Amino acid sequence: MVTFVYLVAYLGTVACAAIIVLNVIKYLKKPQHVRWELYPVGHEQGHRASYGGSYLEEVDWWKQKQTGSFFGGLKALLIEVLFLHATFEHNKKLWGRTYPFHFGLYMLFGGFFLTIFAALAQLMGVVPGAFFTTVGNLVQVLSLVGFLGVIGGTCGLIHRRLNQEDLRKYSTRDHYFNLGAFLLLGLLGGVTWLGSPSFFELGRNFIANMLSFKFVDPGSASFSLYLILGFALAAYVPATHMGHFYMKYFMYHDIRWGDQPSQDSATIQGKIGRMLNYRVSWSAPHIKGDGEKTWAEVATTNPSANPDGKN
Amino acid sequence: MKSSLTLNDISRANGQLTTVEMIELMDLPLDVAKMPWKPLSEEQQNTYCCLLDDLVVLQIPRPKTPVEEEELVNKFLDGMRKLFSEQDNWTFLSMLETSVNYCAQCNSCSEACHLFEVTGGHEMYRPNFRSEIFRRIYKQYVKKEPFAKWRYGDLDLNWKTVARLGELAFRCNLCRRCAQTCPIGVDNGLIAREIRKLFSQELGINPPELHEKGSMLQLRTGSSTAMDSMVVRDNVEFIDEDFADVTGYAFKTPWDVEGADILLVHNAGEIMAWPENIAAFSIIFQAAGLSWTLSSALAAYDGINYGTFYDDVQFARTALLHAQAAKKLGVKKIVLGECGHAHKALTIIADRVLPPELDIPRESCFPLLRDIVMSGKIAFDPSRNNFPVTLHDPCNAVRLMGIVKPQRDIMHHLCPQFREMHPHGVNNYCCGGGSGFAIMSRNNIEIWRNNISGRKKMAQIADAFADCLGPETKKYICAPCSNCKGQIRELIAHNGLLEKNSLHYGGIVELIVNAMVDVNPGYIKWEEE
Ligand code: SF4
Ligand code: SF4
Repeated sequence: MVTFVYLVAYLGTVACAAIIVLNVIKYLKKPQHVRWELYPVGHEQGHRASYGGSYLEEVDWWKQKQTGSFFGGLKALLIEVLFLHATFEHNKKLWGRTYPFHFGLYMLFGGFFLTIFAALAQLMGVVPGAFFTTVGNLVQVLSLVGFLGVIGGTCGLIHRRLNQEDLRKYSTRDHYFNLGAFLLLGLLGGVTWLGSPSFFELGRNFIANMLSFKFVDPGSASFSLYLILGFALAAYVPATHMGHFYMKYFMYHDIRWGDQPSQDSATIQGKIGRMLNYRVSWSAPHIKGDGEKTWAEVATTNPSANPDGKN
Repeated sequence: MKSSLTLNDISRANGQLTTVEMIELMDLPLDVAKMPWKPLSEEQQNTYCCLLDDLVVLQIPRPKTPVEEEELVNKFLDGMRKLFSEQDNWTFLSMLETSVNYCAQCNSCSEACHLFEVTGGHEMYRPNFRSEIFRRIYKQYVKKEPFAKWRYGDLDLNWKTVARLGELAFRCNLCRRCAQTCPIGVDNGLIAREIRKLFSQELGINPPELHEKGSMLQLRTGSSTAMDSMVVRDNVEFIDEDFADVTGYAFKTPWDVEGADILLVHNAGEIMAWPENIAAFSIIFQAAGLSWTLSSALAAYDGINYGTFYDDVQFARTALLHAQAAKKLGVKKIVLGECGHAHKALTIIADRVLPPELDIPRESCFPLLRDIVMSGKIAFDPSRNNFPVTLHDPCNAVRLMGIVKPQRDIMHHLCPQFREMHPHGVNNYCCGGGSGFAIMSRNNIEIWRNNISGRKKMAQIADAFADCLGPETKKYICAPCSNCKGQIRELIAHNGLLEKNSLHYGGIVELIVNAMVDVNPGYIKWEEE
């Protein structure tokens, strides 16, 4: 059992990182899409940002390189990620349930990273003292808030999905399975937290052992189950629709806010050149793509031109 | 059926799936009729798949035999595979995949949709309804995700599913207001457009107004109005003469001027339906001393690009013709007239379709008009515009391009009684004619535009003019887009709102010329709606 816990932890960590990296690479390797932005655009500058305006409001906009504000984009994305602003604006009842869930997860992540930090310090020989006490107390609080948020949030979400007709129709086994798994995670974490003198110590020791490949008993059955489920979810979540937590970056920056004119980017221009040589196999009569003709050829063919070429 | 409609009904139900009852429609402070649907004829029902509701937009030929039914499904699946192929759908693959893969099914986008709202929350109009059917088909039958049936529910894919989904893609104005509210960045409007594309590009099925009488006609004659270059030049010459008389301002619209600074591209529908818009542009550009021209090259005198609504190939062909005309004349830039989708098509989407040698700079007319109005080159008397004016924001130019303020600068400068609709700017509502509907009037579509798609806009208009709704006050709805004007014209005419409420509509250049001191007063003709 002990070895199994460590095995799941290693596999979960590697799978999580690998799936995220692979999905990001896969996205980045996709062909250059057309522009399809939607305003307001987060990185828009100055006064225009306040009403959703764009650089296209200027005559001869192309005479200036359009850069956008990095901090504007970051701020807009952070507001969205940290506060789930769009859900708050457009679906307050759901926000009241999904925000505790997400907030709980953020707290658990915060606690997790602090625990890794403490485990590294432990491995480097930092002796227990004020530092560990402070970090430990913080992790204890973060974890407790996190478990309560996840338990409360998932219960609220399950309840809403079951009882709100419009949501029930769109809720699948997948949703209940996912929410159920997170609820169980929160419960296992909560039971462990209540049943042990320090959740932080359990976590720090486990991570230190993991990092030094010492397969020592994690300390309690509930904690072992918590670890197994937690690392399994780490591998599972990025591969599902919940992978929006990292893909959202591209869905916002590259698509919704993707307003970079091609004239400002040799890379985009180069890609368009390549895309125009892609093969077309759409078979409607006005296209007759045979898998051989390129987009450039199809786009320069006029299927309804007068035979004499006059208009 | 309204709220009991479920995703699986799309494939299970026999006959017409649903209807929108008149009682469910939002009430308005204006007398906009709730018109009962006309029954579809037996011939229509035998010829086309009339399986969704009381409308038939797409006109999918009804399969006659099981073999034809199977063929429809297989072709649909072929098309879906192509939508997810890099070679066939490089244009939109990134957006489509992310919108299919990452939706959380939270339905936060529902209330944003004007169609959903005015039908009292009819399930068919929930932005996610059509998208989720599309997603489930993709995951179960194309991507073949492990345990897809168990995880998402088993959705039967038969010819009725295909026919209804195709028709559902035309219960959306592609206004993308829903996408704006999605916390994740999923775009249900895009999915509707991709379904339209699948039908057009793979099955060759598309609404005739957009295809044969739209983009194909434009590629053949130069314009979806069927005007060839000679006819269009004659018509504009006539407009010049006519309006020079009316305005007392001598002007001439230049054609095919090589090396001009600006190639102005109108929506040619204006020439036929709203000549005052064409004349107003010519008057303003001449008065401002601009170097500009129209082009009589194929398609270059008509900025419409209906491919924007249903077909990437037709889109690219038309955009190329526009750019080639500008290149041939050697102009410094293209300026788009008052046509929202032409704005977005040529400025935004074409930006990553045109090769660099054809990447002639392109811009909206609104900033240019704003600069002219503010420059002091032309003398204005805003008191000539002293009547209540409100501004409609065409989705394509505003939410999808971020051109918000220039129009308002003009309004504030020239219209003393300007008032906003609520919400406005990038949060506006579609006029109801968006994505091609403004030019469709058959099979109950005109009733749909009146009952459903245009309803929210009329509510906004009524609200903006709440203090003066009566017939004694002439009111002007400024809708600077040909399609939006077409839609608003129809609603006003259908419901007698000119007589009942003295509601008038028009573009932005008409307001500018109406206030020009050098032009005879009364450019806006209140009687001739
Ligand atoms: S599209 Fe966005 S807002 Fe709508 S259901 Fe999906 S995740 Fe929620
Ligand atoms: S794009 Fe517009 S019309 Fe279509 S579903 Fe979204 S909000 Fe409704």
